[in-house]
Amino acid sequence: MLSINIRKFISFTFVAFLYLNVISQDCHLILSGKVIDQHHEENLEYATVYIQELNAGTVCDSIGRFTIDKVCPGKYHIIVSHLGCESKNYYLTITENTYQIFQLEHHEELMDEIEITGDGSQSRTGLNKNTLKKEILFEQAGKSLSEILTSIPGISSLKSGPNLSKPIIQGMYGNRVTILNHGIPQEGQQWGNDHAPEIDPNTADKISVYKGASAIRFGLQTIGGIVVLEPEEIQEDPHWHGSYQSTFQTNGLNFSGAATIRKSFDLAKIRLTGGFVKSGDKKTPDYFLTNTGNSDASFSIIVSNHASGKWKRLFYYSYYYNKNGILRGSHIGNVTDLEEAFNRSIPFYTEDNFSYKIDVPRQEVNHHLAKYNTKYFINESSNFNLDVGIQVNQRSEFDIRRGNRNDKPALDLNLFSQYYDLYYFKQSDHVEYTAGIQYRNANNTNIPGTGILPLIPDYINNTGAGYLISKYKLKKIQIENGLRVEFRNYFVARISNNREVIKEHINYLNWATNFGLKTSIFKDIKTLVDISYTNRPPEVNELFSNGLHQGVSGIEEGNSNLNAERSFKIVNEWDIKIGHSTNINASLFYNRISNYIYLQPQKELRLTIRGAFPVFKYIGTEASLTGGDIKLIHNITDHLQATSGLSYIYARNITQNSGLIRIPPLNLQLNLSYTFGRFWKIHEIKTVVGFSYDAGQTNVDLSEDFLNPPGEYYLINISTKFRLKTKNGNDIDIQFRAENLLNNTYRQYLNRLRYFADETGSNFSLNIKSYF
Amino acid sequence: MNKKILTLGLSIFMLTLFSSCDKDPEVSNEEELITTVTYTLTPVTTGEIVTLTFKDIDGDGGNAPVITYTGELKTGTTYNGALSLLNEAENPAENITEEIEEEDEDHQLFFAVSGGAEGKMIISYDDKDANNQPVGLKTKVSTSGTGTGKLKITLRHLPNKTASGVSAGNITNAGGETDIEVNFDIVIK
Repeated sequence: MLSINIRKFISFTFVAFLYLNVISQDCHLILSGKVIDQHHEENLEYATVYIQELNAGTVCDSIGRFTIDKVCPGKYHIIVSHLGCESKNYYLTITENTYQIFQLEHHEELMDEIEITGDGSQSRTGLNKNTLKKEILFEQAGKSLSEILTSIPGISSLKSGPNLSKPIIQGMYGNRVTILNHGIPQEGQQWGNDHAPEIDPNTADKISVYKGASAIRFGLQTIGGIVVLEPEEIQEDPHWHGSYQSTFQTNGLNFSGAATIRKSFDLAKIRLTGGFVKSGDKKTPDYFLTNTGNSDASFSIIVSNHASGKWKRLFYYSYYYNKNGILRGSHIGNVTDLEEAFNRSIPFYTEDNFSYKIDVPRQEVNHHLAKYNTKYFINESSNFNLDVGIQVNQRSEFDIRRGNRNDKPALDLNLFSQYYDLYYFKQSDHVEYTAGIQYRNANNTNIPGTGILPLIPDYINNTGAGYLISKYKLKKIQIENGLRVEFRNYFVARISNNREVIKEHINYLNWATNFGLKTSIFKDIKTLVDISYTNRPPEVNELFSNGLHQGVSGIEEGNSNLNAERSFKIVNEWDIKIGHSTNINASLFYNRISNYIYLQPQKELRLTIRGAFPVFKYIGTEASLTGGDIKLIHNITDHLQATSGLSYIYARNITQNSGLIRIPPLNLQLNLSYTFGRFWKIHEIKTVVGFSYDAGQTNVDLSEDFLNPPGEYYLINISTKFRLKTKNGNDIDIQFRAENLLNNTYRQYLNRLRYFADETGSNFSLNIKSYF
Repeated sequence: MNKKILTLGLSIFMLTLFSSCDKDPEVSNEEELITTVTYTLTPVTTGEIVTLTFKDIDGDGGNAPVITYTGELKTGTTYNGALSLLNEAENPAENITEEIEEEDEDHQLFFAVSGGAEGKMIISYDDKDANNQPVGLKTKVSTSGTGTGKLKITLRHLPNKTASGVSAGNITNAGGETDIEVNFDIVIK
């Protein structure tokens, strides 16, 4: 009995001793500081600072200041949030009274500042960029990369059915738009209008668009602009954190999921992502689009060292798999079939029932990207940077074929590419220089066994380039100019009509230059002018494609005599703030392209055993594009915000004195969003009602198309989202979304599907993202 | 350590740089190519055999196809029509007709007479697939009256044979992909 009491006593004193020991620690530390807007350095009033471990927090005062006292020494996860901003997690070690400035970014930053303080590692260009951050990416979950981008005015998408789409920036697409995937220009089969970029948007934490040709560091295929997918800097936090997002969409019974986890180890910081999509046949208001299912899978890993010392290293690998069904009724044998398809109210082969089955015709793509980046800091103001990127792109396209050949790809390509970029960067008070050299190699192989003569020949593309970019910061003016010189050699081994292999070399020497100027006229009016001149050498498809392109019902002929395309573009961007409630962003441009290369229908009809086909030949024409896109944000009250976006391009084929083919029509988007703080455990409730209008394209040469462009249409979309706060600080974001709410029937000019079927009808989505 | 990484990096770079400087694409056979369509009309009783041939040896593009017409189409005559398809780009020539026979449910030929010969040359199916639907490799042709016009022969892959009018030879609701579509000038004397 006694012994038990003694034991109790001992344990009690021991515990008490421990307890005393704890409180005898200095638990009177003060964490104080400020929460500011990352871009405007404005104080954020009434932001919340919450310490997860202590289950305690505070609200900032009206100028963003906060104080939390009675903090014990230790390591803490701190969540900083503010209405209208993306919450941010910080990991702090507190050993003494600490003053900390927390920076937050607004949800919808109209245009980011020029990254003048950057160290050259990012896509530096004189132009402003439009960035979609995590918050917006969450609202767009379940969509493809280029559909996500269309929420930016001036960006539209070129589609081939509901799954395949590629971005159009101010009227330019394909060989004129570069996609920078984690710092490496994406190398796929971008020549095909029905080839979507082989990227899972969930691998990026933010996606930006630069409208203009100034990103000359990344090549000459940037006449339209550049799309940048980047990760966030991984926080110095020794625990696993991340998010899981799952989305369900009613149209196509589409399930998708994406997860991200990150952790900072002693040796390195790691981020992993994974995702999948499973979707069946989409539906128009009246019928199923048979065989339009798709399935995707992706995986990526970043390993980077801690950014201390002279070396900074980062390794990135991503894998993307995609299988896309193509509308069964859009497969045609000749022009007669195409004309019959036009006159159908419901496409041929439309099934009465929904199915997840992906049959022929379909595309299957595997894309691997491995990247290594290393930076050596000579001193604080200068460094060397090396980027190495290796990509493997495998594309198989399956068609409806005779004699049990459906399982044999009709097009089977393997593109192996390498990218090496080394630059030296130096900055002083007012000047920055970047000087670099670059080597790119792309090796395209038709995998034998298709039983069809290849449309694109085997080739090796060797490109060597040098570039020099300089920036000057004067008092109120920033000036940037750049020069790039590029040598390209194509080694092409093609098969002629009489089945002989013809090998040849073609060389191009081209250059590009740009000049940018940014200034603040008043405090609230900023403007920017960017002038660029780019020589784009023709790509292999423009030079050598040869044969019947079933997808477009025409015989395509390359033109090996083509010269480089010469583009002059001037962009003028405005960022105007009117009081605290209104913000206007405008991008106006004029683009004059000499020798604009496109597939022009020829007068000739070529007789084949399948009937007569129109012949399309790659030719250069004189083209001009004038246009602009404007975004206006007006805060009607603290809670009610109106956003409108308008984009329009007037494009001319000067040689033919007609409109230019495949230019997006006038587009108007109006959104009204209502945000309110909290209701019970539900925070940041935001409801958006959106109206979008597309005018239909009338500025076209009707003789250049099989069918006149479809007319105008409008759509109504609504969405609501909120954040569920949980006790342990692991929030859950939930969104309901309805697209094409009224189930309108319409067709889009820039979707090849318009020849055969309507666009998809209404789609309701539920989107859940949880953080840990 | 850094030196090692650098050396390794450089050697991989060199390796990849020089490993692929030539390309030798394999010239594969065009397996589904049809180069030659021959429609042979043999009188049921006696008379001259009429042969219509459309030949495009090098496929789409290249040299233009050659269309030949031998014999004379006589009025008031019944012919047995036989259609044959060849791939003569191969040596020996591949018989595509057999492939169609094997997949006869998935194929149907359509014959359309137009111009001054319209209504004067009646072509009806003389064969059936496993589903008791016509194929068109064998036909009965009967002529009446005289005139000059066109005969269009179309081969559809995966048509809807049960759609309205299709089994009677009307292509309108057939759908499917066109594998061949050839036109011949014809004279009925």
